[in-house]
Amino acid sequence: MVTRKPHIVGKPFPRVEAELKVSGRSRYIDDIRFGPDLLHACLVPSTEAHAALLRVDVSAAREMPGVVKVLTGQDFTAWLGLFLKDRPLLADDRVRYVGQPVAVVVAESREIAKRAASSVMVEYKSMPASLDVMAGIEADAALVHPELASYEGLEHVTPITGTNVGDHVQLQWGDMEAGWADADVVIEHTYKVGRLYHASLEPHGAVAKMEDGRMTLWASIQRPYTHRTMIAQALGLEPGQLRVIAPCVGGGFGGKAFPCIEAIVAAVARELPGRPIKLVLDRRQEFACAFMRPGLTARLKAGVRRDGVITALKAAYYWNVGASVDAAIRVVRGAVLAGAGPYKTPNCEVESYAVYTHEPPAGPMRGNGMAELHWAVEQHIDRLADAIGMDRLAFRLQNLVKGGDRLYGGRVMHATGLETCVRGAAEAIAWSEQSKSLAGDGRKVYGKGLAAMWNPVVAMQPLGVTALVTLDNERICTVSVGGVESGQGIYTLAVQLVASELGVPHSNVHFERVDTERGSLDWTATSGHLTWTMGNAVVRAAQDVKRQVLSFVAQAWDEPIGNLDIIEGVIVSYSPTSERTLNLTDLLSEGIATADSERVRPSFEGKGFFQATGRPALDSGDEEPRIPPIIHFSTGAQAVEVEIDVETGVTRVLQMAPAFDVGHALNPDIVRAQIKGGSVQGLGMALLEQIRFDHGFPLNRTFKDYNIATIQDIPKRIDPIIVEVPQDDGPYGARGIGEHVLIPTAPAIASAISNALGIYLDELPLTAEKIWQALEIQDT
Amino acid sequence: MKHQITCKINDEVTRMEVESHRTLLDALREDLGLVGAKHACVSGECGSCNILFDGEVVSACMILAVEADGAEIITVEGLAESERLHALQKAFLDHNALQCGFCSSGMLVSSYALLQSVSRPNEQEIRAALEGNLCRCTGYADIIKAVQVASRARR
Repeated sequence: MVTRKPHIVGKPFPRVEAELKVSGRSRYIDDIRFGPDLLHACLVPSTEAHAALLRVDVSAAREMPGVVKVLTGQDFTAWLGLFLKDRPLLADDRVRYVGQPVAVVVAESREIAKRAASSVMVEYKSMPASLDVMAGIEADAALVHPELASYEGLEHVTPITGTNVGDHVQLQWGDMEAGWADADVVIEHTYKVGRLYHASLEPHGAVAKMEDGRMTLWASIQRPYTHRTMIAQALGLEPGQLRVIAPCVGGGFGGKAFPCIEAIVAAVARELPGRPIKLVLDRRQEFACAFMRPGLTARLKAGVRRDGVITALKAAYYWNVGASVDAAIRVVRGAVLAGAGPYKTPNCEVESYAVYTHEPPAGPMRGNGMAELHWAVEQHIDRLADAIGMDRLAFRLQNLVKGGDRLYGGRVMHATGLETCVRGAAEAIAWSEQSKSLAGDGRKVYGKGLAAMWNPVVAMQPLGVTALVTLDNERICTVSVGGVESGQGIYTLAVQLVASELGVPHSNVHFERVDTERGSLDWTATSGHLTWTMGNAVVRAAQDVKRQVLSFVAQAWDEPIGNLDIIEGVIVSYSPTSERTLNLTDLLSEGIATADSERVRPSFEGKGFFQATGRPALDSGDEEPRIPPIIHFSTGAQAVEVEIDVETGVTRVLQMAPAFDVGHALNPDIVRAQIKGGSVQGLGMALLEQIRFDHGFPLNRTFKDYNIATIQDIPKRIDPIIVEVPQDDGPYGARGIGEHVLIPTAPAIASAISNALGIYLDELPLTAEKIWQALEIQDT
Repeated sequence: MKHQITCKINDEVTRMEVESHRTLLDALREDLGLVGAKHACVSGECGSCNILFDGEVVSACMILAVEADGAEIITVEGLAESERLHALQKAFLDHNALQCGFCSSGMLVSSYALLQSVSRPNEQEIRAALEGNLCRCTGYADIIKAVQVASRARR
């Protein structure tokens, strides 16, 4: 008799691609060989923040032996943008940030390309640059895009004409005047986050080849279908003319979600048909020529009653999006939907502005706007609690949004484990024993901190996702999705879901890397909701292929399909008289005799489609169309204990207790791994990371100067807590996790520092120097 | 100028002809197809191209190929014994000590060197041995665990 084993969803399960990775056999873009025809490209980046291009002299480069092609913005015009086309592939008549590609050189070797690129003479006429987000919104600021009104895609944004505001949106509910009148204490403060860098260990890289009017692009990217659409549009190709293949990707964190250098490589390949062209950025260019996180200046004003009720909140978020708003539109829009933080705020006004500056373009980065926004909101919540003398945890618990609470516009909050997360995180660091741990030895002081978070998953465009599950004699079962494995474990989840749904051993299920020629359309390999969108599509594809198999066998056996099932790779008939079985692998290799006794060897292809049903953010009649629909909220919390050396200002995180509601953990090991990794990235954001600019010139462009957390920086203990309040439309009740884990860590660390020292620091990162200075001021 | 060099790489005697300015990393990756060591910073800051060079951990991007004449080199490809993964590789796989995998080769080589000199390293020793290896995905905690597990498995 065939017996069913417990299914493997919800259980720890080793990563399916890990063996390749530990043995050095995984192939990333720079590891693939393209043969002797391969040409190498090198960029000529701008050295000015804002300047007219008087002359780009490429004659020396063109004459250099081994140089095949040199292109500048004068040779062709192409602009990139998913919504708003505000990014030229190569600088047109001016440069808008340091690092902007001005020219690209193609040569027979990397060395020649590099030498030729450095021989390009660019004559600039410097112009005043707009480098400060608050000064940039004033009418007299130097404009980054004076011709914005003529750009394609303007219907997607709401710029303020004649200023650097590329997009803005606002949302208001309740009665603000009544709210202010009801408050016992009103606190107003400004918080800042500078520009951060994704710092994937693998830099951006791409190879493109044009042949017979069709182009193939291999690239280290997160969203092959988005890249295909945007690059094809920019170059005037039909999407079908462009095939995009994503090999193994060495980290993305949002930095590879929109095309940048890939489009330049494609543009060059179009000029040189027949030969593959490769460009992999070196680390210095990687820091400046791709994307950075947007910066944020947040102005918050909130009123609170002595009994702990938040009576009114006014928040204004000013995003420094650098020279392009396109990839940051979701940040700007999402900010109004989450702008009050995960708290009951009956009277609220939130505004969000994208401000162009002459800095590198903003791209999405893990926690997409929410990490910055919560940096402000959570610190403000601490100040409010402190002002009325209430415990910070108790104040949060009193005000947290709960399932069933009415949000803005009549929207009702769905069931959420937010409170469980906050309580669990606080308990894990023994919150109530706070006063004891505060007793330091004089030089070292200790503090505990906590922050909560929510992240609205919003739909900027229809989130249609397709997955394919094929059965054939060669590989037995193959699952193909449009999302890219960039370290988050998505292929492992896909294999688990297929094995479970189809009823086959997981060793029979293989994954296929993304190839737009063969694969399945997916726009959404970012934003931490791939588990939810792709997971649903995979489940449906597996169900579809299972139906096909069963109906095929039912017909051959002349039995009703309802009698059949697949268990552990065996097709079983449950007819009352006998139990008939057939191995799925035998069916695929030898076929089955049909009713008219002809033997057929079948193959099957199951398709699963999932379309997110986003509910509008506002259910009232006067709906604001510029605010995207919300799919659902992910929630969580972080609690930390820190030790600060008051003589040096050096902060060490001793313990972290991150807690997240993931709906259902499809693979608890991978969920915990995501939580740990995101927490440490948050630690880096809190204490170490920031791009420093001098007149628009990024100064720290190496890992020596831009410090991400090392193994010496991590706490002794990181104890992830998984909370599971199922998502009603999630696969097995699951929600995404990857993005959310970064969000509450920086404010939790700031909270612990203010708890220890009584000092509020409002600008990231919380370096030893800043803390030491604040202590000096406190002493005087 | 080209140089003839002979070295032992992953237990195999290898002869190469290299230009004076060629880095060992480029020679390994492009001439020998040993692409486990990665181009990540190419300035000795991240450890992604770490290899064992006469028993010492070095970043292959910081060494010229000509310097490898007569040297004994082990790369990530040389850790497994025939088809069997090394205990460290197995532990990395079992304990989620990798995500995107780009740092893993260097991380594994540095861990391997540590276990060569200290058979049962404590957490502090593991941190010290891996402080030059950057990872952006895992947050390191599972890497520490994997090295500990591997050190016990080897007993």
